[in-house]
Amino acid sequence: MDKKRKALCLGVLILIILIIPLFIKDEYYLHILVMSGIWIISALSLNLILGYAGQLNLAQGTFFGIGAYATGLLMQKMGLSFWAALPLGCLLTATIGFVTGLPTLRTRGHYFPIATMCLGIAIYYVIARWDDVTGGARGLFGLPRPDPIVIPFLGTISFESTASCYYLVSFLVFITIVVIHRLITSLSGKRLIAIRGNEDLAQALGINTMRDKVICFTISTFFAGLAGGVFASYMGSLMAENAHFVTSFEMLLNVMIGGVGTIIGPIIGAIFLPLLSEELHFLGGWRLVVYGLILILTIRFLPFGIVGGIRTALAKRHDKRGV
Amino acid sequence: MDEYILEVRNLTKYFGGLKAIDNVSFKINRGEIYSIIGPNGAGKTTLFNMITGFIPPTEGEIFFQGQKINGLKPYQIARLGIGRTFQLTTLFMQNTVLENLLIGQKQTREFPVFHSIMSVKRRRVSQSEAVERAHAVAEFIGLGTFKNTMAAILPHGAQKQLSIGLALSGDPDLILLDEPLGGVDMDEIDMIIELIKKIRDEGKTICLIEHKMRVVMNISDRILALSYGKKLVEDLPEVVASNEDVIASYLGDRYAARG
Amino acid sequence: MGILLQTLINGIMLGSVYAMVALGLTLIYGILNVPNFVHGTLYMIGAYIAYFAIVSFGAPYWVGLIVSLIILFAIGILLERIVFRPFYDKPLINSFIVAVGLILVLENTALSLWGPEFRQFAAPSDKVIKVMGVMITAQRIIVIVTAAVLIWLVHLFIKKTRLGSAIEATSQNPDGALLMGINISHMRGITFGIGTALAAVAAVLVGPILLIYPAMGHTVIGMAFVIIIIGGMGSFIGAVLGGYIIGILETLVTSYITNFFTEAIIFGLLVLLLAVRPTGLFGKPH
Repeated sequence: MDKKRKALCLGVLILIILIIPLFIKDEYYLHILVMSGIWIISALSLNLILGYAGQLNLAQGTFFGIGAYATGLLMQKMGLSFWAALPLGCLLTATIGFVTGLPTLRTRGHYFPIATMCLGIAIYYVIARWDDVTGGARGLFGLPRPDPIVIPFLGTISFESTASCYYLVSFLVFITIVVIHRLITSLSGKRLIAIRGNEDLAQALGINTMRDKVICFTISTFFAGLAGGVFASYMGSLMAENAHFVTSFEMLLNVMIGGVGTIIGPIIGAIFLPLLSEELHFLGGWRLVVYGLILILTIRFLPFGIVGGIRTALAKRHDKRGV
Repeated sequence: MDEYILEVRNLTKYFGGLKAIDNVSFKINRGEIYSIIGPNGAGKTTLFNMITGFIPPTEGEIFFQGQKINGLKPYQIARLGIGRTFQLTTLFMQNTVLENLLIGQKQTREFPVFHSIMSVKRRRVSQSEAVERAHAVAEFIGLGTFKNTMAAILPHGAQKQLSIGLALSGDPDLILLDEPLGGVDMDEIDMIIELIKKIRDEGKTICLIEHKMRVVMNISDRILALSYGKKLVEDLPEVVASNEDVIASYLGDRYAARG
Repeated sequence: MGILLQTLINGIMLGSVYAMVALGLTLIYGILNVPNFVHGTLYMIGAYIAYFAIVSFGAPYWVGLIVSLIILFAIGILLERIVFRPFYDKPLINSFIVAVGLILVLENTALSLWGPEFRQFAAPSDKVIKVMGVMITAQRIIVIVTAAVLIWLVHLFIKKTRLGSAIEATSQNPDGALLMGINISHMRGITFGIGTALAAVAAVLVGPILLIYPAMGHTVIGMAFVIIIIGGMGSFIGAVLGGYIIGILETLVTSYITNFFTEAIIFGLLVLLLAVRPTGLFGKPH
């Protein structure tokens, strides 16, 4: 019964997601939804390494940038189609993630955020200064949208409209959720939770923590690269700043405000914050100041974000009823 | 099969200029309860940390089931069949008793990430095996009624039981218990002693660090006494209890603590 | 020869800045046991305060420097009290994230109030001194000498005053310090203030040479972390020596190897260093 109800809920949810573009006539709001989708993928990628394995990777935005630049450059300089460039871009990001994860993940406690921060700065400078390839500080322009898909006898799907991009991003969000959900609900996911809880104890129980951290880091950078690659093609242009703190901050905000260490939390955060951002547009640059304050207050009073707050509230109500 | 499950040969450990363990050798027989005693700072926990691979010895060798294990990583040693607890009760505090015990299972520590994501059947089978085993361990250590309680809010004695359960969950042959009775109430002590005996009756070997002398003398088959990293004596409990060096070192320690 | 000497002097100057920033960072780490990611942002705020004192209010350079020092000392104490104190008994990761939030707040406040453009204020003296065929601006000498004097004063403060030795004791052994009756939360505030003030002075010293803009602290804080990891987190002498070494190294790399990838090389080297020694060059194994 419970399983049936779950399946039904999921079906209704998917249906709603599918028909949303029919009801939203304002392109701009559809655009915000596409951006939310990209932020959901990147927030889930950060949440995997931060919320489950307990490692604060301050270079996650940089991996988003690597995926974005790799996909963009493969399309623009190598003339590859989006459908080839995106997976290659993700694989390249994951490879760099693997290679840089090996040294940085050897560190523990204070050293890991510092090491990844330095890694992020190093890669950012390579992107910002390598003029011949990345366009340096000027940025990268004129990146194409995904090529149309031709389905024999049925016609072609073009990705010029925002609605078609919305469906593409929704599909990728779905894939990301399925993969990460399967990983963290499995026995391998229990190992990540063990590493977050106490790495020494995990080792004493026979868990190869280094191996699991590296695998988790690599998967997490793969999805950061995926979000970046889609971002590059959808936006059509990239700035070096996309590969820097700004993006890491955005991810961290979505994860922490939604609720770290849950799947639904980062999703809520990535939908809620861009909407909030629209409401706060009149603030101009002060918007980010408000974000910073929200982040500090969240950590202080709601360390597990919106989801954590709701859970605590529900538990309290439950207790009262029980008594 | 070897008569000894663990053999420590000429083990020495320096921390900077300080000699924490000084040329210590001993053997633990299969199926016995072997206790290590000594005043604070005698190097007992350092010994455990070297056996389980958390710190490398400066000199000397350690053999488990005839295989040399120093130089191996902690997780490799754990997989060979040595379980341990830590002096400060160490648990996954934010997880329930059952989740704690699930993490320690063989299926959990080895299940490949690839199959976690891609496979359906293998994943389900391993998971239900591990959960079943975790339930069994929970019952065995006497926490059957607390399975869904978060570790952080368990009473101290139950936390100690759970930490022993964690050490047991990978089904090891040798279990190192670091002060399993430390800070435990009088009425909980008997429960844990019974648990230790029950584990021995399952055919496992136990190596114990403990300060409560009466318990140690009662429960142990043999005792190793250390002082300032040196081996004072290794013998049957009654012999160790009457050894003058041991008495002096313990009384000295008591007086020093009072004064 | 002339170029090498010029490069070395520039290196020592940059090293002086790094040494002061890293010294502040390492003092704070020693007492609070948190890597203070906000440090670079406070360095930036220090530069702006001096800028406004000097350019908008027409204060002399040294007055601007002292005003910035005092204000940042106060800001440091306030931040420790209001923002960081609630997190000491919480998981480490929380105070990291709070620091990230604080960077967002401060940097975007600066950006909104003062805009992204580069600013600069004049040096107290524009004299140029000629030594062994090399032209050195007076400001470079001022940076080097003032930094050396200040570092020495901090050293004296720690070694010779009661408060200073309490800070050192707390840093080396917090539990022991507690037993000795040292008021640790008091100590944390003061140390945070001193560390922050050091960063501010460093920023005001290089103000006339480098540019002032909201993101100016990013690279400096990264470098400061490189330095204290190499020098041993919490070590006074390590931060100072490390600061000078990295400053000279960076200048040499920039002049002789590559102008473009200096930072990438240095940060890359740090990551490699951590791969070999996960707790830093002089850090204790956990």
